[in-house]
Amino acid sequence: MDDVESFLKVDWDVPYKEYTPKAITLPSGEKLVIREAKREEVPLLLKAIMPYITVEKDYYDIVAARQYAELLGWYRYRVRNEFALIGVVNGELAGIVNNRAYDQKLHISLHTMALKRGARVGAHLFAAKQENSIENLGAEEILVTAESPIGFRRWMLEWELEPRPNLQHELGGVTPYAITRDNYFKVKPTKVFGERPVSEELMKQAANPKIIKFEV
Amino acid sequence: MREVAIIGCGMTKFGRHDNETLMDLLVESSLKAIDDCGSFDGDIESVYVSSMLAGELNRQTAIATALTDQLGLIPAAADRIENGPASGGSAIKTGFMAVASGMYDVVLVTGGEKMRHVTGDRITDLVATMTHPSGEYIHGVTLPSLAAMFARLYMSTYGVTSEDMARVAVKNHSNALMNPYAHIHSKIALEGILLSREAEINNPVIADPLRLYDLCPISDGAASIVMCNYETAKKLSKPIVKIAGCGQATDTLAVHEREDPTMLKAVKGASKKAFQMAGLTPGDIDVAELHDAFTILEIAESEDAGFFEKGKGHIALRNGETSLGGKLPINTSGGLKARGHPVGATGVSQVVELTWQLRGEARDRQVKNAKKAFCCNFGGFGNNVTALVLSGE
Amino acid sequence: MEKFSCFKCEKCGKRTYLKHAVCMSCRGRNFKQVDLEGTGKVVTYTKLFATPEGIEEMPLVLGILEFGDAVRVTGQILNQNVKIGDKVRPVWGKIRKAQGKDVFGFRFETIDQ
Repeated sequence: MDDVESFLKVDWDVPYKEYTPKAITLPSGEKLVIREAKREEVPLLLKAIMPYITVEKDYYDIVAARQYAELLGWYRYRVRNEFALIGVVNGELAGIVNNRAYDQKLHISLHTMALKRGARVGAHLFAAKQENSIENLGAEEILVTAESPIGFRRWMLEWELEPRPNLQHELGGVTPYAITRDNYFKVKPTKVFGERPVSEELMKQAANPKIIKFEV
Repeated sequence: MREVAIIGCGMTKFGRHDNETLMDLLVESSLKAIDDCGSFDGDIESVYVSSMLAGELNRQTAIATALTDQLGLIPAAADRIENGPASGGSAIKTGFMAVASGMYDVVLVTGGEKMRHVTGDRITDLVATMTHPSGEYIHGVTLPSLAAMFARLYMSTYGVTSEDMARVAVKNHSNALMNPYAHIHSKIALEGILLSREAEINNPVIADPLRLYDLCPISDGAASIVMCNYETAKKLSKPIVKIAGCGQATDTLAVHEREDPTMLKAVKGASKKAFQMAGLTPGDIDVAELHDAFTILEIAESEDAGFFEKGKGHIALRNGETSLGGKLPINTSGGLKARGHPVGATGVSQVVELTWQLRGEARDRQVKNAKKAFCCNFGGFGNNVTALVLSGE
Repeated sequence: MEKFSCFKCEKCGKRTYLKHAVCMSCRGRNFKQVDLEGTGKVVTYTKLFATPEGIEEMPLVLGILEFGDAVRVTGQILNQNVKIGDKVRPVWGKIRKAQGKDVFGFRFETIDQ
């Protein structure tokens, strides 16, 4: 069985670099700390996502179900080259985003789950994961799809992405759109923010996030 | 004219009411106001319902009749009053006139709207039908675009800045945190919505120079008051709140036809009439509810209603004069910006807040010794405005 | 090709771009359609990012323009970098789609000084 496990187990097979945390100012003036999620934190993340799996509104159910599966897959070493970033505000888990490197040049944008609503947490986290893929991990292109109309408007339209009709996104949905390096750097000044380094105090606060009360 | 008093008031929480119908909201708010009358057991003789979009959004026309039926008030008279966002003010004016004239002794005014079940684009379009059809609407004009053009001219003429407008939003959000009935309960800060680079995402431009936080939300909700003649009110034990003055004025339908587009003549006219009837001046007012559908409007109305010199309203705002604790607190409820704006309910909810203030029932938002209050309800883009002066004892 | 025109009160001479049944100044009821001078200036403007259905421009630039003796018009401006005070002239063309049909009217282009 050990043989099969070592055969089935996957992790990173392209160069990996840790994401440097940053702090983002939210409308309230509070700071959103964005940092890479540790593999050991996945059970906590799954617990936070779980209640949304049956919420039909705004396609929360499909986003939650899929992100749950993606994070679980990463946790159990069955999905390669996946990373997740989390956002923490006042010690509470505000959001989770994840991408996957198909290969060093092509990344796949997976999901954006905003747990704290009304504060643009999703927009800031979405930008951060693309920042990680392009600037930190050197991707040349990220394929993006959307399940909800809100997602489509926020990313495909606001980021001015171009469709890639000859490709399929691994989630199997609508024609994917691409964030190229050119496109990323063009929108970066109006989309990607944050201050580094994050203060020790904020990092301490973000170390063990609590789950926000579930409300729909 | 007889003197008119408010003997009961109430409102639903403003926000998103997915599981209730418009009628549910109107009933909830009406019963709260009726019960608030306490020991009063007189008959309500006329019901006024203010709703701008009940027909279009909720497929219910002649809704005043339906409410009268639900509340068991048959055979009372019943009318739906529609005056765009000033429907509430118009309904109160109409009820006031009925009691003041002696035609009725006791009337109920309920304003309500259920709007969040349709898309924002549809609401924006329906609201835009208030504008001039061939002179404004057809060109793509929406209310936000009118407010934006107004704001741009105001900024260039009087030196009002984006920061001034953001301050209105910050103040009103802060006030709303203390209002359990408010739609929006979220603290915002200048740093987060304007001064930081993140403001680009946190507070995107909707209609330059107006940003997301310069616009009020779309809300569901209802608010109600019961008015009666002063003689009857005197017999009750609650502190009496009188409608001391009432005024209304119109202005050109198309904003561009105004001689000075920064002048809100309808606000001026309505306020003047209200103060005249009350025998009071703006200097007598202790607390005010102004119609901040767009943050710039709170600043402009504070001037044209007579509280500050034209072009100086933003200075008073900067100095904290209009904050809770200042010389003239404006929008202690959170205003349209944070209390919310179920269109037909707004004008009535302003009077509910001021009634609480004048009775000493506004809790954490209480303005000390509030004796005289003012509100104005802004219809169209300032082309039909109602104003009320209230006095407490 | 439509003429850029306005309505003039036959009694007092007041001119407005939009039709009124009764003159706002003198209560007169008779109006003549007269030409409106071709060069105006921008009184105020906005760039609208939340545009109505049927409008293709993003953002849509709208403005209040003033012609001749303070005859004002509201319309679309064909310049993303417009400023208060810019000189404009009317241009006839398609302004949008409404209920699936093309709608024509006057829009305004800025004139280089």
